[in-house]
Amino acid sequence: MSDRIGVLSAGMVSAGGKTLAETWDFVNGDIGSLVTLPYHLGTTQRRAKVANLMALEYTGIKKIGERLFDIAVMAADQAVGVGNLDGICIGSTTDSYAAQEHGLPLENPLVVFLADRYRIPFHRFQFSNACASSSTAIAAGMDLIRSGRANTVLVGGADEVLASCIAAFDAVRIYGDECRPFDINRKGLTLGEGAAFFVLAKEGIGEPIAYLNGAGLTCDAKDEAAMDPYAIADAMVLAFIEAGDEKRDLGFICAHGTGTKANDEAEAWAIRLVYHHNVTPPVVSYKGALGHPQGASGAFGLALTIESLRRQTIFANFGILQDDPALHLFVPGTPVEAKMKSAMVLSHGTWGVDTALHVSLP
Amino acid sequence: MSGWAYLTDVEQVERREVPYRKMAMLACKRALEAENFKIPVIPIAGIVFVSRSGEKYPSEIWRKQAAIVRPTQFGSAILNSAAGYAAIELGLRGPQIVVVHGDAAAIAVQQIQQKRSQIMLICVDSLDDPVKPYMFAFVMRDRGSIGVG
Repeated sequence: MSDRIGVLSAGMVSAGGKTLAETWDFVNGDIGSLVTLPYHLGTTQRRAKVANLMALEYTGIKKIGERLFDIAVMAADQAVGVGNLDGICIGSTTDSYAAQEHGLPLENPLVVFLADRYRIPFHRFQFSNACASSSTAIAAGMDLIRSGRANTVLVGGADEVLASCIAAFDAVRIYGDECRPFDINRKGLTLGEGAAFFVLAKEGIGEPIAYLNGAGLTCDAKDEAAMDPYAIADAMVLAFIEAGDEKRDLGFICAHGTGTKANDEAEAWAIRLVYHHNVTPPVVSYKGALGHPQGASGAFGLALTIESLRRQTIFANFGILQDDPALHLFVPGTPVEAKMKSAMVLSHGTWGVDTALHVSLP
Repeated sequence: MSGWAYLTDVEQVERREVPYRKMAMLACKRALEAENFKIPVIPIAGIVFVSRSGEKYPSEIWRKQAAIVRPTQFGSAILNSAAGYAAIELGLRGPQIVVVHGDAAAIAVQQIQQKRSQIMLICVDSLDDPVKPYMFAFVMRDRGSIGVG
């Protein structure tokens, strides 16, 4: 069992709200956040539904290519308080794509911008592990504190919707008109954007709002895109072991839940494997409401999971209309009050990356 | 640190137009073979990949493909394609981490310290080196405490 790491604060901005509390209320509401944006696939202009920040009357945009930085700052400013930070670990997949898409030079990565802003001189890390970027960054932040090299670390992730991203997912035929995680008629994902950041601290520092107890990082080493439930299960088990949680008594699991046939099926199978095909905890995904924020997925999941634990209410799996009996999961479509102590956040990326974060209340 | 491989010339690799990610895989493979590991690697091994050119090569694919996206190029345009390809070819089931900014070796050490992996490969892409572009990989394994400064 490794040392648990305190989460002192959290900040979030998404298509559902400018703060974590707003986003949590939005996820549990009645309307989604999808707007329709044009993009090009080849020479054809198409339109796709995305969950982007335009609905928030977001006016902080500077020039094209720096939008991601503004999104990240909006969330990070909420998390960063008074006091020094010893390190920063963030994840993002669109950091350089935005610059490339608009023909801009590749400047310093996002981490340098944020580290300069918050005066973090050392231990600056940025990761790009596809959709598991931010959860990899969060795990790295935990490790940094456990190794004794830092006492407080800013961790999280940010990503923005780009036309090229929509086109890419559409080209591999997993982009849908709406996202319905774990629904029997799910047809694909929709993209979203935003950022979520946390200040992690060594146990004994400050008053944590939650604890990160364990992280599991695995790779299925099998396929570029297809997911392997055994590797996902391995990541979950590793997180349980690191957390010293033998009973695996979770309040719920915040799944990656992209709304594609393959992802949801693989995750469901993995969860059943971990629980030996017995009763599993409720499983939810926020992506029906907020879209798939790509590299910020893990950070989004952690933020909403912490908020759910604090409120003792499992957030709703927005978008599910009809259960898929083949998945054998309990996926609540409305918020569920429950007494719970801990939860797990799953996040997976292309090229076989699987992550799991074990989080609990103080 | 033990076992390393140093590919200095693109033409030394099997084909002149070997893709970027295959160079990473070959460098990792030679590092593992230098350490007498058989492929696929039986102990749990992970990989930390870092590029001194930042995100240039996959991003170039992304930029070129932004207008015409081919499904077969999707994977190559993702920034962890090199690490992922090496993981598949070499059977690396441990942590797969791509560092855009920061010390890759420190990240690798932390995976071993947290017992997530017995062996970590560190692969460094320096194809942008103006004098001698190269891809470098070495194996790190747990042999007691490893200091990181």
